[in-house]
Amino acid sequence: MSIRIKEVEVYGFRAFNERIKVDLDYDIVLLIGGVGSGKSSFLDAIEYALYGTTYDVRERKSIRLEDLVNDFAREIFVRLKLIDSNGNEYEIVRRRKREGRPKVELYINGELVANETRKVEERLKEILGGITLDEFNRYIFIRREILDALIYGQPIRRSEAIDRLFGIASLEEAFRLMPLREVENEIKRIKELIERKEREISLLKRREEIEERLKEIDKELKEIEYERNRLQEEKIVYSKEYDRLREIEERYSRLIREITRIEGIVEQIKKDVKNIASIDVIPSRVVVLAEKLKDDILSKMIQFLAGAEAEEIERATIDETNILNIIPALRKALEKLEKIENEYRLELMDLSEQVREIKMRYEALRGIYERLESEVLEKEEVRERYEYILKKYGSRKDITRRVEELEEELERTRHEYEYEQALLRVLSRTLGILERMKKTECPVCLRELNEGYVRTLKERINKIIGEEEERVRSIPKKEKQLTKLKNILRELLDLEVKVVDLEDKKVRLEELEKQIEEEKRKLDELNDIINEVQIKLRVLTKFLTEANKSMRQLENMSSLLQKAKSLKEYERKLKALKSEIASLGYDPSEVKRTIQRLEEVNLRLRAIDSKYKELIKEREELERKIKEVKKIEYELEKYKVKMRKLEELLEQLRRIKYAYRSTQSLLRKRMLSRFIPLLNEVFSNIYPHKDYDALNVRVEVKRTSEGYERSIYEIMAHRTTDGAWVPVLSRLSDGQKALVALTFIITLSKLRPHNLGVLLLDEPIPNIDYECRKALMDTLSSTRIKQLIIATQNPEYMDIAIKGSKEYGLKSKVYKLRWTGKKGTIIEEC
Amino acid sequence: MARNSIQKKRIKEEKNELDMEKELENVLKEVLKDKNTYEQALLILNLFRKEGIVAVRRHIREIVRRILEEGM
Repeated sequence: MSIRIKEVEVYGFRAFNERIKVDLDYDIVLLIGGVGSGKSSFLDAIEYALYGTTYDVRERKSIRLEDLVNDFAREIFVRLKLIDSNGNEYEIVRRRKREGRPKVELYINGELVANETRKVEERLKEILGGITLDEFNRYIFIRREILDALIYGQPIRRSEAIDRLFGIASLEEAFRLMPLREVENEIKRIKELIERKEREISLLKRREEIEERLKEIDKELKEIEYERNRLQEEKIVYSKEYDRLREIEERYSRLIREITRIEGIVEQIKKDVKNIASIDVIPSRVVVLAEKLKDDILSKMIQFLAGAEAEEIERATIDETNILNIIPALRKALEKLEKIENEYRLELMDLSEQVREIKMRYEALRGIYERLESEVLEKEEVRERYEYILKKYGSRKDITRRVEELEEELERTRHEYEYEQALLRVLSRTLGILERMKKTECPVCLRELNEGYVRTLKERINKIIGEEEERVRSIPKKEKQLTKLKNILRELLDLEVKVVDLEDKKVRLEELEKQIEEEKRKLDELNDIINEVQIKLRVLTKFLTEANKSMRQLENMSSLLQKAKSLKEYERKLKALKSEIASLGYDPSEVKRTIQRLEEVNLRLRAIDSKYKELIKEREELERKIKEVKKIEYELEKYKVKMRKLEELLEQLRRIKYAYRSTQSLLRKRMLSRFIPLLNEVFSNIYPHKDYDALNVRVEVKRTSEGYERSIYEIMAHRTTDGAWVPVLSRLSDGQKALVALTFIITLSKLRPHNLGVLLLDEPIPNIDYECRKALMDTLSSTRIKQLIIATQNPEYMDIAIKGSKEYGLKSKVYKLRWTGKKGTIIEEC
Repeated sequence: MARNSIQKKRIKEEKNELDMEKELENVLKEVLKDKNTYEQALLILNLFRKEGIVAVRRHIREIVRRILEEGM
């Protein structure tokens, strides 16, 4: 089965921005265009449609997938239609945005069979006969660089190109680039670490020595512990002995102190008693003194009303046997009397305080009395004036009545005066009118007036005027009289108030006088009581002074009596203590010896402890050291393990590295053994000249400038003239070289059987001559290759299309590619 | 039907003969003998082909790191 390309539709892919649909269903398709016109992009689009990537992206890694998207497009769209010899049509549609997952669909005869990437790849691989992207680029899509390398390349480049065509170039590259240095450097670093650790260990003591010393220390420690235990026991024994002796010593000291104290007491008693003639006289003297004191106290107690205590004292009989018992009773009685004395004193103080208060009150009352008395005397004049006014003007009622009468009279007089004045004005006016008009009739009532009436009128006017003058003179007099009376009335009222106040004060003065008398009486009474208490107090105080003196004498004597009694007791006790001391058997030198032994034991124990501590410290230090050594040894061991593993890894990687070369060499041999017969077969078909009849590939191993061994291929041709093998590339013309290169390509296509009967040539051979053109067209008829798609800028290739149609009856098509700027590449039919 | 299967068989045989990948693996296996080393070699070669030398370096560094960590 041979599959051909039928149609390509593309946009957004590399140089293509506009949607372009190209019919490729021809035997020969020529894509002609200048540099940058998009020829290679078109062939790459076919590759992308088949594999979803390109050789530049996957193998060369010169660009990324997203770089395949045209700069002005949002996504790639490529539709590729294939057709096989049975007429089945396969359609692959790929879409890819600059970012995001690619989409792919596979149609067979218009029916969608897969749209998942993995499934589409599997089906495509099956359809294409298992040809991979790498193989596609070796056997189907032939780039100019390969042909250039084969025809014109330096030996190394040529060899690389052949290796690539054979599919074994990656082994050589893997051999050369195998990154062993990564591991070597790590090994070097670990080695340095190991050396450092070894140096560290050598600086420390050797482990065996340390362990030996540790054993010695343990032995010494055991011995020390045994000795220490022994000394501890000894110390306990001596300590017990010392404690016993210390106890005896303390007891001895205590007894000595007691004896000293008792001896001192005995001495003192003897000294006290020495002042008295005989100790036997003491009781009778005490009795006499006690009896006298008892009588005195009894009389005073009776005198000062301490009945119960007095009876007790009275009942007590005093003799030599109970003399010591009566003394406390006497002391108690005395204390009672002292208490009574104190009560008197307190009473006296209380009375004095009362007297002082009464005196203060008395003085205050006297002061108030005197002040009131002087005020009363002063106000007597007011009374006199009051009585004088009453006598002269009468009572307040009389004066008030008179004032009211006078006021009425004055009012009346004023009214009369006003009336008369008005009348006078009327009369005078009437008279004036009559005289002026010389008439005799009244101007008001028009009555005829006679002369007598006028005269009467004049007299009346004169009379009124006379009365008026008298009235005018009486008014001021009456007013003056009224004012005087009012003043007297006011004064009288004021005096009345003062007189009432005076009466009140007199009453108060009498009350005060009574109070003062009362206070004075109380004061006299209190003074009498105070005098009485003072007399009693003086008597009692005097008695108590004397009684206390007697009591002290009595107590001293009773004390002596007691001491005299206890002297015998003390002497007996002293004797007992001395005998106890003698029984103790106290020996100070024995204590000293024991202390000395104990100190010796302690000293030895301290020395042993110090030695023990030193050894422990040394042991700890050694243990720390040995721990450190162990740690370093452990680390060293770890590093050694790591290094061993790394060395194993390095060794493995080296073996792998050289295995790549060996594999490459073996594969090369196998490939050549298959390749050369096919090569000669193709060569004999397409090479038209007789000068060379066979080709061969010689392999030489050479060292490169980088120091690597490389296999160098030399293509050899068998010269017919002398039967010698000569290097093709140095002996043959360019045209012959191009034929040899084509021979290689055609042979390669035969080497790997597959279903894709297409050969894509990108700028294949610069100088194509007749033989080459013929060889290419022969290829289409004699090999599996049924379609030739050539992208070139060389117009000479147009001849292939023309000749192919005319001479071989092949369907040909020529397309012209042109780059138009932002719209990208456009394709036109020629 | 029979013709198709014969054709398929022939293609398969041819493919087997010329399947470079298979052949490469076989030769590598022969050369290295040790299975582990062979698998490692194949892994490195595939890494080199697919992702380049950087991936191989990364892979070897990873092995080294593992060895160092195991040792610790």
